[in-house]
Amino acid sequence: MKLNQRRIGVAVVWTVMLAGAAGFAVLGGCGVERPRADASVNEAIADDRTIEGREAVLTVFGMSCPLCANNVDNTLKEVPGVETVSVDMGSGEVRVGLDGKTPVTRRQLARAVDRSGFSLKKVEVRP
Amino acid sequence: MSRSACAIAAAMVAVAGASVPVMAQEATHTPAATQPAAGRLYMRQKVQYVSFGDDPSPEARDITKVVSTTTLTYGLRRDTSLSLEVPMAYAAEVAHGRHATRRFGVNDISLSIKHRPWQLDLNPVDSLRLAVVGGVEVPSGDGDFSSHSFDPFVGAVFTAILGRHGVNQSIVYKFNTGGDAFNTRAGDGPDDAVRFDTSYLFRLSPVEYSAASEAATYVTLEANGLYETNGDVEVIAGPGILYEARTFALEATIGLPMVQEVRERPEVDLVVTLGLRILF
Repeated sequence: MKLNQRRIGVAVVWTVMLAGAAGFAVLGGCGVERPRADASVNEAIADDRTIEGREAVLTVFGMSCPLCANNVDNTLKEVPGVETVSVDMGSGEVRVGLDGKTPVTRRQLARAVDRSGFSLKKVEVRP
Repeated sequence: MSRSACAIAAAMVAVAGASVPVMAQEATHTPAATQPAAGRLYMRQKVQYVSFGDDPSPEARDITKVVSTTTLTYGLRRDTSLSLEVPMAYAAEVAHGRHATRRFGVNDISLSIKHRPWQLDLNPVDSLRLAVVGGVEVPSGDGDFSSHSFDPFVGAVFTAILGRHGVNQSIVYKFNTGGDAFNTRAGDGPDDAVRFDTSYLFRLSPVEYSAASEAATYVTLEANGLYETNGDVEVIAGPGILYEARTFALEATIGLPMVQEVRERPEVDLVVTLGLRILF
């Protein structure tokens, strides 16, 4: 009998925790407005023209820790022509420095962020 | 330890040179719905000390184990990854208070695939993710360290990162097709097993991320449960600390039995785990 009571207790505790997690997901996922990507993202995905500037500034969502940020950093650095990458996890701003010699497209940068598993929200090119 | 196991271990150390982890916001024993980027490899090393108490086997063993687990994960796509887990164990047993036995060997390795069908990144930091996992434990271990059976498993894991708070909830069902009673590896006996793990992470520092943020420190609280269809149930819970830099991470946790009703294997007294993730 004691064992059964224990098991029931454990089952209740875990049911509550699972329900809590599900509730967390529903509230977080459904109760919060899904952030929309800037129009520049759709343009970037289809843009095979070489970037004219020396720096691209990407806004990336979901980089919740230093190792995550490093993953975005490394994936972008694999794009030929990318010289430097700096990540500001607080603002989600990823500054991509280009070497100015190898042609780089916005599509390549958008694809690199996508492969890293995070959400690209905005793409800007600076001279 | 078999030669094949040595070869696997050596290969894992070798390929670790190219590893890049993204398995962050993941506590020590609770899976997270995170995975490496496409084309990336990630390695994680954990060393676990386990002290056992009452042993129901006829030998009434006094057992201490040290288990070193190496995990390699490769990102197939942005939302799908493959994992290989190789646990190696050292066990010291004293039967009837007299005969001391020391054994070292490889436990059964696991192969698994994780797919994340749902992800919602709310802002630069906050993220909600849900992943499903499936795999098989292969009878590749040495002697008593193996269950000598192919044991498939399926499960799901949910991760929520909201500001400084992170929650992971995982549930995995393992179909044990073989195995010996009185096995010291929880969930490795002849009966099916359900693992239900919960972790909470709180970021101690930095309070707010900035361009200057190079590392983060978290405190963790985990509850790791196991129910076996023979009726055995246990929940090991405890605190931990996780330090994450851009190129490496360190973790340490202590686990104590909160609930333990086991008849087919020795009870756990204490679990201490240290972990290291290195970027080369």
